[in-house]
Amino acid sequence: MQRNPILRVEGLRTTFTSDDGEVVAVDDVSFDVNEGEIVGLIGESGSGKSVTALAVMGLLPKTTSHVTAERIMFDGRDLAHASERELRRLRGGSIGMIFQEPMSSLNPVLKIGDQLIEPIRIHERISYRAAFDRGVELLTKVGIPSPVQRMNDYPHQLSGGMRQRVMIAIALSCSPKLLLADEPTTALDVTIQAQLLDLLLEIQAETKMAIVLITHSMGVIAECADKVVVMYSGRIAEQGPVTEIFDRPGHPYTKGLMQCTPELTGNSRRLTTIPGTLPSLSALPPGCRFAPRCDLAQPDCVAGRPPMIAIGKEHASACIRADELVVSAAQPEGAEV
Amino acid sequence: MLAYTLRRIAQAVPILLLVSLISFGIMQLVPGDPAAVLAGPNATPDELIKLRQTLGLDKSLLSQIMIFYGNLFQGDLGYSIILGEPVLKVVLERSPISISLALYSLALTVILGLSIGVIAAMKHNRWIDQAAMTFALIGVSVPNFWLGLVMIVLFSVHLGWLPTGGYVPFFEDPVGWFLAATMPALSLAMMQIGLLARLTRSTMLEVLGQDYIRTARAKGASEPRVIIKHAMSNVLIPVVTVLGMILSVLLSGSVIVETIFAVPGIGALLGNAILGRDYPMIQGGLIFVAAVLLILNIVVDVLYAWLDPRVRVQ
Ligand SMILES: Nc1ncnc2c1ncn2[C@@H]1O[C@H](COP(=O)(O)OP(=O)(O)OP(=O)(O)O)[C@@H](O)[C@H]1O
Ligand SMILES: [Mg+2]
Repeated sequence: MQRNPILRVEGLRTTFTSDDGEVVAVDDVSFDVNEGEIVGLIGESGSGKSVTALAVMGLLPKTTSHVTAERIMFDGRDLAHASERELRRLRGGSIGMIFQEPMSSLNPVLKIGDQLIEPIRIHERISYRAAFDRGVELLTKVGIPSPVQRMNDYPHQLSGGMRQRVMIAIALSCSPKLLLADEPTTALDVTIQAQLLDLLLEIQAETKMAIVLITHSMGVIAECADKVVVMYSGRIAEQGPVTEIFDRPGHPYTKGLMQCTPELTGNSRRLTTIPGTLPSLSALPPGCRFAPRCDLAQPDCVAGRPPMIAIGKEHASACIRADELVVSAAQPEGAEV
Repeated sequence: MLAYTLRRIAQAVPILLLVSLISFGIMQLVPGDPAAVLAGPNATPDELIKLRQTLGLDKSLLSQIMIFYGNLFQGDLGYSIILGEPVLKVVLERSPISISLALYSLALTVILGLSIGVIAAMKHNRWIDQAAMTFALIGVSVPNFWLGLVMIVLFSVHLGWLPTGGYVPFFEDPVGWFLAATMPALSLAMMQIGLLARLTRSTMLEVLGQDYIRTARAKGASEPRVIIKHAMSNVLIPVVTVLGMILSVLLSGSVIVETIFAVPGIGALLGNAILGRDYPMIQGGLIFVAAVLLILNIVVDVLYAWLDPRVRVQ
């Protein structure tokens, strides 16, 4: 099925100025999100996933951050060169966002109802009464019991899971075409995580909105996403359709991430972790940023920034040994030994 | 909310008892014989005995306490020695003057302190922020009597814009009241304006960095909406908490300011009572001021609970 991209990010770069100078948190990131598609954005903590999403929304602090991009096309408009006014019209309207921190993302002194219907009242000409009714409807839809009473509650009266459901309701309130979901379940209990993911999938199946689903977990990607973007240290390591990536991972980092996920290896004894940690933004290694942690690193890896190499249909990797990796992955398990 | 209010009122009762006990103790704690101190070195023994009787000092401590509280519960605060009038009557006459001055000061503090703080936070690290914080620092550091004198010299003596002081009843001549009260209120408020501006700025900066502000922006809220609806509602919580304290300081700071500007309020009254060793006046005045402060603090606490739903529910 041929789909049109609803979001096309090209050459996104984000820098932060801090006391010890300027750091590049997101460096030349490009990806597409097609209409109705779920794109998983995965990477270790600090790899720049949230910054990428916030940069698209224009929500990074103006005083300390600097965002540039060739283009950020959303629904025919270039967000990278749009005015604050235009961006405001899209935020909460055609683009919804759910944040990583359900406990602190709701205003503690305003009623759930007021916070929920705020985007509706901002983006649509609608009476308070009608907006309130829609709020109740939304709360019902995201599975909150006794929604009318909940409208008059304050955030501290709700559990973390319930608050995140409210955040989902807020993000969905104006029927967005694109939802940026930044680790919507990471801060919650495992059982609630699964419930919320199911809820998101259910709503997506119904509304056909596109979702950028940010996560730490390859398991979540396997379950939900159509496409994956793997980020490492502010750059894209690999991207492609989910089936492609799981069958033929083209980057040692992607492979490492998959080996960290028990559900995927099917054998808990073979569970490994990637040794080492993400480099600090103020002391980035030359060339491939993953090279210091990579088993397959060779002298060429640190020579320069590895280009994105196409290794399949819509599948590309930023590893100079991607071809070898894909070939070895294509061989049957036992052949290597 | 009602239960909360009643509980706060109930909590005030022991405090008031304690204050009254302290004010009763004042007379007992004066070294030597308070009557002798009061009557001066030239008093005859007869006069001393009479004075002791008037003050009730000839009775046992226990019966003195009983009489003191007995009178207190009937609203009798005793007779002022200097003025020869019932303390309660004098206090009631003078207190509206001080309270109106304190409220005017409070209004100046809230309006100026809040707006300076908010503007400074919104222009964080720009010249406007620095100018505002310099102003706040000056406000905090300059003593109010000195500021009062400088203002008198500048605005009354040199420019002749405002009267040097005195008091005009508000209901007789609102404009006159306003002119006479502006300098005393401002010199009383200056330090509090500085403190409140700083508190508001730092709280606002903290609130603006919160996740829920980002959520508001993600909904497409305009900047004024973010500031007023989402940030201010949170900034006001700590501000209201210190409001009670500020008001206490404004009321009790008026001793010096009222004296400088010749405002015939409670502050000046108590100042004179202390200088003239008018013990009944000091005792009664103390209890009265404490009662007013307690009431104001209850009002502030209830307001706080009304602003912050997390407190209200507990
Ligand atoms: N406001 C900011 N000012 C300065 N540096 C920032 C800011 N926000 C993020 N960063 C830096 O940018 C880098 C990427 O952060 P980001 O929040 O995007 O990571 P992430 O991939 O979302 O991680 P996590 O999984 O922990 O959410 C980090 O090194 C972080 O310290
Ligand atoms: Mg993040």
